[in-house]
Amino acid sequence: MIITNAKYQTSMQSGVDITVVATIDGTVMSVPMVSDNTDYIEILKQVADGDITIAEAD
Amino acid sequence: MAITKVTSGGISDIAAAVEGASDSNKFTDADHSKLNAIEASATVDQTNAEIKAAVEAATDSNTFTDADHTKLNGVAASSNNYVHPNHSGDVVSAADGAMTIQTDAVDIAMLSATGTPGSTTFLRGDNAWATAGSTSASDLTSGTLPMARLSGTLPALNGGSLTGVNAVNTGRKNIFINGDMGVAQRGTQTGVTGSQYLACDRWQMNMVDAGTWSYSQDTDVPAGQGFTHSLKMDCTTADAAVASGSYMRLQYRPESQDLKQLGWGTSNAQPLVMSFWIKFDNLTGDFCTDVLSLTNSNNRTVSQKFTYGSAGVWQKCVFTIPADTGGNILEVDNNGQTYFQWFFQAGSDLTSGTLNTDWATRVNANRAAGQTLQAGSNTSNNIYLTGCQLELGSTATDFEYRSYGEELALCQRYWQQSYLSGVSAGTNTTSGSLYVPGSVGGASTSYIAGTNNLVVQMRANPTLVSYDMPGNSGKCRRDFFGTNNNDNQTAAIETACNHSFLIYSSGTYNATVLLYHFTASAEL
Repeated sequence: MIITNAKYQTSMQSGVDITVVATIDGTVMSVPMVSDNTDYIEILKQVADGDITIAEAD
Repeated sequence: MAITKVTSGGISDIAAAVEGASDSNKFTDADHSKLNAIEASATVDQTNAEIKAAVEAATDSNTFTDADHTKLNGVAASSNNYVHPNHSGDVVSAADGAMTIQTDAVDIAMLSATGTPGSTTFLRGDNAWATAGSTSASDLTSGTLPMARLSGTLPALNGGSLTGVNAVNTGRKNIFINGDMGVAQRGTQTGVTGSQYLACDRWQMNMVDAGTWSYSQDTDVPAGQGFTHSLKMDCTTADAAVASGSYMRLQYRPESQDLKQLGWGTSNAQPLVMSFWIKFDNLTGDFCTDVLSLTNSNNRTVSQKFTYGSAGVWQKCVFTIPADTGGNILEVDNNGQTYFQWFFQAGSDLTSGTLNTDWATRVNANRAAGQTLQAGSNTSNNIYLTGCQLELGSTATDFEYRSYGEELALCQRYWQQSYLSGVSAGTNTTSGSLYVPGSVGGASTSYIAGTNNLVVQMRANPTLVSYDMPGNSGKCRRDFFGTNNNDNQTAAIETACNHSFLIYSSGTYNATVLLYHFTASAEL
C-alpha cells in the first residue's frame, strides 16, 4: 500500500480532527481515525516505521 | 420131617424165620405198611408221555406247554411286558414314548437360575438372571438397529461418524460471504500487481512479485452444481522466475465475532471444513491452502495440499481443518485475526519446509510446502474459483445458496458504492451519482453540505472516497441547475460513525447542488 500526501482533516461538524486524508495507491481517500479501520492501521504502521508523516490540518 | 408144635412164641419165631430168609419173598411188615400207603387202583406203569399228557390236560395244573416254551424262547433276556403310558399336561407323550413340551408350558417359575428374574432381566448363558442395563455398547458387534429403537432423545452424535446421510440444507451454515461469487460491486479490475480486494466482494488477493493480473466475475462454472458465477483471475503479464519472497494468495478474512462458535483455544474447539470448486487453465500441479490464526504472541497455521491433475477441468476440493484446542482464543469483535488462504504462487521461502496438516506455530517455510503450481508463470494461466463454503464439522455438505439481495446486504457491511453494481469506481458516469441540494435562493460559491445514509451499518467507520462525474477521486461536481457543470471541485468527506457520512464543498463556481459518487470501505 503506497501512501502519500497524508494530512489531518478537521471535522466540519465537531471541529476536531477525525480524518486523515491521504492518497493511497493513487486514490484520494478519507480515512477515519478509528482503531478498527484497516487503512488507518496501515497509516499508523507506516508512520511508526518512519515511512510517512501526517501533515497538520488546514 | 419132624413136626414141631407151634406155640404163640413159635409163630413169632416162624415169622422171624421167614422174614430172615434171603429167598423167601416174604411179605414183611414194612411191605405191608408200604402197601397200605398206596391208594386204591394205583398203578405204576404209566409212561412218561401218558404222564405228560395227563398233566397238560389238567385244567388247573398250570402246565408248561411246548407252545409256552416256544413263546418263552422268543423273549429276550430281562424282557418284560411294559406298556408306556400316555402322559398329559405340560409334557405329553404318544404311545411310542415320544414326548412333547406343550406351548407356554415352560415359564419363568420353572427355570432354575441364580438371581432374581424381573421386568428388566434376561437369562444369561451362565444360567444367571442379569439386568439388561448392564450390557456394554461394545457387546453390539453386528446387525442393524431398527428405527423403532431409535425414538426419543438420541445422544449427541459426531457428524463425522454419520455416513450415508443426505446433506441437511440448514440455513447460515456457510461462514463465507459471497462464496458463489454472485456479488461483484467493484467490477472488473485490470493491471493489478499488488494486494487488493477483488471484483467479487469479500475476496482479497495478497500478492508480491507474481506478475500482473486482471480480476473479474465470470460465468464459467462447474456444470450441474447450480452456480452461475465464478471469480476469474487472469494472468496478463507473467512472472516466469518464482523468487523467494514471491507469493500470490487469495484470502478470506471473516470478523472474529463471526467465528465465536469455533471455540478455538478451549477444550470445546470445533473442526471446520472448507470446500470449493477450482479450475486452472493451462496448469496442473500441487497447490496449498492454509489457515492462519494471528495474535500478537501466537501465530498458528494448518495447511493442506491438493493435486490438480487435469488442466481446464473443474475440481472440487475439501480442506478439513482440525479443531484447535491449543490455539488462540478468538476475540469477540469486528476485527479479523483469521485468514483462510489459497496459494497460487509461492516462493521457496514458503515451500521448502514440511507441510503442517495439524495446527502448529507458524513457520512460513511449512505453509505451502510441496507446492509446484505457480500460476504467475504464464499468461495462459487463468484461475477460476466458486462454490466456496466454510462450515462447522468435518464433512463438507452441499453448498448453501442465499438470495442475491441477502448476499449483497452482507457484502455491503464491508463495501458500498454509489456506482451501479459492477461499475468500477472512477468510471466516467452520472448513473448512481448523489445530489446534495445547496442554496435554494440562488447559486452560491459557499459551502454545500449534506449527509448520506449508508444502506447497512458497516463493520467499522469506513474509508470514504468521493468522485466527480469523470471519476477524479477527492472531488465532486458543483452544478448550477444542470447548466454549469463544474467537475474536479475539491470535496471533503468524513464520518464519525458506521452508518452515514458528511460531504461538503465550497468553490469558485456558483452552484445550487453538489453531485458526487462515493465508495465506502470497511474491509478487513
